[in-house]
Amino acid sequence: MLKISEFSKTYAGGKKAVDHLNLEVHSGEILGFIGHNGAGKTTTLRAVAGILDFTEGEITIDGHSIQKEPVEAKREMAFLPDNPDIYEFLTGIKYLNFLGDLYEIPAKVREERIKTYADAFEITGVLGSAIGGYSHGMKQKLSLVSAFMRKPKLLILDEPFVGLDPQASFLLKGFLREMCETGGAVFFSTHVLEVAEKLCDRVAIIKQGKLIKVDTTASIVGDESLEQVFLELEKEDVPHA
Amino acid sequence: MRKLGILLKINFQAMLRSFSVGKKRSAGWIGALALMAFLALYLSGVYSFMLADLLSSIGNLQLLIPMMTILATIVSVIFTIFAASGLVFGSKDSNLLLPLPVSAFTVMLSKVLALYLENLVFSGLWMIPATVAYLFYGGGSAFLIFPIIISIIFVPLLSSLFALLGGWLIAFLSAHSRHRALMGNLISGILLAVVLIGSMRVNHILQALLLNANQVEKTLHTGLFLFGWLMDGLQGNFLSLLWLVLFCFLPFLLISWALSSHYQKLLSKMQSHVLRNDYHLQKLQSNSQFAALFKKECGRYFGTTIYLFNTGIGVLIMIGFSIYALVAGQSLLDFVQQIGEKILVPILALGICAIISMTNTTCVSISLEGNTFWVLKGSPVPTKIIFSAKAALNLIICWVGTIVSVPLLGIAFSLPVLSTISLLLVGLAMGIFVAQFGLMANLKFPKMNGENDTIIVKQSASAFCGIFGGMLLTALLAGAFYLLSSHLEIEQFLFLASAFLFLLALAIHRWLLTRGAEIFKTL
Repeated sequence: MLKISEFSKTYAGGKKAVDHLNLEVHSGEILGFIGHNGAGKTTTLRAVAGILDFTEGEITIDGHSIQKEPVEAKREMAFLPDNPDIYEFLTGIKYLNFLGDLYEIPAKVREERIKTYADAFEITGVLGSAIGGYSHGMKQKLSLVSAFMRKPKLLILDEPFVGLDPQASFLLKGFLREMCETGGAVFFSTHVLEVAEKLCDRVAIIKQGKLIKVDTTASIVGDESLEQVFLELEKEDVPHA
Repeated sequence: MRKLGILLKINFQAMLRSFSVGKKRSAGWIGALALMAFLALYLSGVYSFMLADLLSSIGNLQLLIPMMTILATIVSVIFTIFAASGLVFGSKDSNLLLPLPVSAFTVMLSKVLALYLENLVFSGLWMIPATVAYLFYGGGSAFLIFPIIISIIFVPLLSSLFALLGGWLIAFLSAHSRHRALMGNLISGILLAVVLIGSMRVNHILQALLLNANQVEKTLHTGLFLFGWLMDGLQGNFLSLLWLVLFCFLPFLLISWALSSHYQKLLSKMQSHVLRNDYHLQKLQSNSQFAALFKKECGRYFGTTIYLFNTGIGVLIMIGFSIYALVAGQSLLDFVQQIGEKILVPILALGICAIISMTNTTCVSISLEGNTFWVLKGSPVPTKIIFSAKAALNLIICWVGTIVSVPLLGIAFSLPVLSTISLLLVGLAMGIFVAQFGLMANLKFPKMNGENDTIIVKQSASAFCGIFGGMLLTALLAGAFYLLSSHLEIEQFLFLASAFLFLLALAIHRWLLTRGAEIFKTL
């Protein structure tokens, strides 16, 4: 579903955020992306989402290159950043309808999907109010509803569990699993290693812009916890390309 | 005092940063300052020498400096009244500043003083040509520099105070209204009307007073007493200068202190929103991608007072003037006969083009996406449609202004049909150019991390470039007509100018679809 080949990103000033990254996310799987602050997770996710421009490497979503066929590639996915900055002057329902228009979802279909997910995240009642009045958690729930409403083949989430209440976190995990069971794929970053350990089929660990480990969660964890493995890997030197 | 100094420094740095152009930070603010200096010097130079010539001929040159100071105050208030609402009461950094061990008065004063600094720079630049004209026409010795410097330093406190009070009124009434944006727009509109009518009245008073020296002296010592003290100060009365300083400084300090007593409460109120929990899902309507983006642009435009008024003020004035022209009828026709009917159409064309070039929403519309830019960039929408929606809003505002105003002006001034059509055409063509040029300016000088909307709309490099670029083109067209006027009728020239503007817009449009789209990807 997602194929990242030899992706590198160097920011102005010379800092290499990601260095020759190769990674695949298959249909039906949840891949957790972990690494410490500044390791290159957000840079990778934003490049995959078509938000960050890059010159080295290739990223394809369901066979469409994010650089050569951005519209087709973006149509297959939904991305949510770590901070749910959305149009505060719109009401929740207008925001959802706006995205429904951009993704060309038929009105009837979007109505049904909004009902399903907004009811589940318990935000239907506030959809008529301006987003400016929402709490951080409510904005995050609205963003999640907007993502699930699109029924994407690939869902890219940057730190989706931060700021969510336990009930919403539980729901989200359920929806992610459900999405994968119907052939979708999820690629998300997190610092909550317990969640990654329990939820992910595979885990990818990035350090100083280089992918240092990618395997099934069971293989990586073995008899230890993901936290122990992660901390041990963090101590090791990054292999040079 | 030290804390105030630190906060002032931060506000000052933020102000300079707002002009920055990528890594060329200094180039941005030096360029902006140079442009501001040029405009202030040019406008003041024209007014100063014109007034000095008139006043010296009737033996009243001593009125020049007070009159130019009054004009500087009016212009400063018009420029900063909307900025005050955003910079002092709408800044996003209040969550950071208010928990600090610094009094609300210090926080507020640091922001008001940043506003004062803007007025101070403008006032200083404005008074240079006035002083030169005063000396040139034999108004006095170099000694008068001292009272003028005193007035340059202290009178901007007065304009900052008026701007602060206006900004406070907008913020206070908006914060206490359920329809915040609507209330903000309404109050801003009323304030704008008051300031414009007030300045027109002052203009009338000044014109009338020019013919009656005794009346001038009397008014400057009664209604406009502050400026009377300045005039006395220029003639060596130090006590009057002291009064001037006290009457500028003390009200500024006292009113700032009084407003700061509920500054925190007002900011809290502004940040709180009404959240209803009784919404029931209704039937939704689908739109095309373009329609959805256009509606979003409209929501942003009409929901942001500073954006609406800073870019829409020209069109509002143009429509207002054309209605006034229709009502005033004969008196305006008499005036036209005085100035000469031949220059009426060129003056109207110049006015329409200048106003349309000021009506540039696209030069900041990408910057205003700010933190929400990811929504657009991550959506499966071709860049062309995003640009089109942004340009369409600009185009509609300009076109509505032109289509409403030009026929009214045609009727009011009994213009021939051909003249009316040529004015209409040049207004529409200027609208097309402005919408495309603004996008280009914003792509070239984006500011995606603006501290607040006011800084992006009023102080960013793209706003300067977008608005003054259009005005420069208007000036060039006026110059071209001046050179060609012996060979071409104004109507013929306006048809040619319209075609030129249209072709220029087309060239920019092509640039936007190629290089512009590439730049958009990298933002």
